[in-house]
Amino acid sequence: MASQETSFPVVKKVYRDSFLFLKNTPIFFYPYLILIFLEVFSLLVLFLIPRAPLNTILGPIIRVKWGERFLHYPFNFLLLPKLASYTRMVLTVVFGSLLTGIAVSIATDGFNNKKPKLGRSFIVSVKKYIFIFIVISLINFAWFFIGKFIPNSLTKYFIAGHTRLLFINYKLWQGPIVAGINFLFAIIIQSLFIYIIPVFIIENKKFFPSIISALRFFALHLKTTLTFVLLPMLTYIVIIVLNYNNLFLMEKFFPEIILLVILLSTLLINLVIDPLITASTTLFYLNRREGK
Amino acid sequence: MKSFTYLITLILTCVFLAGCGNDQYSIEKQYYWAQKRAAKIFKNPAASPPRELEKVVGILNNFIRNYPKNKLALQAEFDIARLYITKEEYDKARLQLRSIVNKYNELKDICAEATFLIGNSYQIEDKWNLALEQYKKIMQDYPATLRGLDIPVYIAQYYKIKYQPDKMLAAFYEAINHYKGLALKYPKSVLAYQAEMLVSSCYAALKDWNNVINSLNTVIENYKDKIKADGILMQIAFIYSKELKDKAKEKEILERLIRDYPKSKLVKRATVLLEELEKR
Repeated sequence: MASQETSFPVVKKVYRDSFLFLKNTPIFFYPYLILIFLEVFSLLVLFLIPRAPLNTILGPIIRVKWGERFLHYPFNFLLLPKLASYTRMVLTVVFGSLLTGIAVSIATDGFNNKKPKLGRSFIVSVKKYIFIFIVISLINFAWFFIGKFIPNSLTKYFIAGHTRLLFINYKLWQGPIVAGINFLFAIIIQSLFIYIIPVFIIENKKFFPSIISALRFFALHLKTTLTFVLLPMLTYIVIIVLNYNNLFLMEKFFPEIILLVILLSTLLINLVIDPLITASTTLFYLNRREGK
Repeated sequence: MKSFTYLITLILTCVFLAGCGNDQYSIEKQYYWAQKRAAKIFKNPAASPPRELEKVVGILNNFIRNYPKNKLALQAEFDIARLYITKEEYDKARLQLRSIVNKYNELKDICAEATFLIGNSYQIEDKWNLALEQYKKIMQDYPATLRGLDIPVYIAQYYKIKYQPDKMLAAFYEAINHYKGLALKYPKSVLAYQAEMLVSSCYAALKDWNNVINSLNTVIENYKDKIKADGILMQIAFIYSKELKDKAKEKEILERLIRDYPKSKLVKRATVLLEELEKR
């Protein structure tokens, strides 16, 4: 288990290489820009649901699932983050699977000093789409399940008549603590699956051998991988804090600020967090594979 | 590629057009901002200058003028009245409320609410007799409204808070008669059911437990085909247990609950209570 180290120089070197790669390979951002376009477009649709003609098509779904008031100003902004999160999940699974494959393929080309080409990477990713689709679906399902399970269990616990859990009241649990736990699980889940796509794209292995190989690599480089995922994710804390204070922001400024927060989170995820995590973990994997 | 560009342009145009009309959403948005201005006065009426009040009233009046048929216009009318009350300009508030009553004279609930606020404005000014006049008017003119149902108890509660027991008793008995009258006027209706339940609440406030039980039994008898009376039976059992200390009657009612509503959630509780009764 010699490689269980989280040596600072290793992380530093990989980050230096990653930033250099991101700087010199703008094509790497293209898949993420496509995802941004899709997310912003869907956000626009979600934002316009209370208005004609979209309210005729999508209004009944909101009315039945969440209630009439979320089709009215300014309450629609209270539901918008949830709707945006569900839509992002669907887009990530359907399109993000393909686009992450493209990004990993571009990073591999960059590492091998080949000129990255979008078309070639697209073909590589398309061929392995189903596999990547399953992996991304698994990640999102786990994330969705935990995101629902913890708050629901807490609600049941407190409805049963308990006033405190571990000396902490309901308000604190349902607020910052659940947000913190979800954040922690997001890091763990993403770290656990992070090498599956690089292994599959780079090694040309089959489904289960790729998973086993990726999980083994993760176990061998547990701390380093967690660091690569955690550091960019720390920037997301700003969004968590803003989301937690949705009502305050709406009251203090204007309801449309929620839209800006969602846009900010889309840009942060697709221009900073995801590219940095994908680039750093792929380059780290390639480095280790080459025995550098 | 050309057709794809056309398709994207078409979708984008549709999406952007969705926000252009002066639809309900944009009306709600205008009302929200008017309300936000009003909220500043509601929050700190003493600190807001009179000019600000006039400005907000102007905004709300503009809103009412622009969208007279919109349901938010009515809310805006009430907002203006409440603003005047908050700023202690009671005459203006009452003028506004009377205009609401005249304008919406077909809508009983609205009229009852406006009349109630007129009464409230007198009450704040410590003119109880004038307030009472308005409250009685609600009882007489709008008895079948939510406010109309609520007001007799409201009057009795006022006397209770003011430590006037004689007037409180009289008000409760008047309320009971009023509710009984309503139940007779609209027999077997939802309103009658609510009125009869209020009769039992009034007797409970007077601690007249036998009459509470009688009125609850009347409710069960009159509405046994329309409602599940398990909750009412449990209520009666509690009265026998806690207030009248009649174990035999309590047992009888609990057994009736279990027999008549075997699937009720209250059966478990009733069984426990019966077991406790046996031990006592």
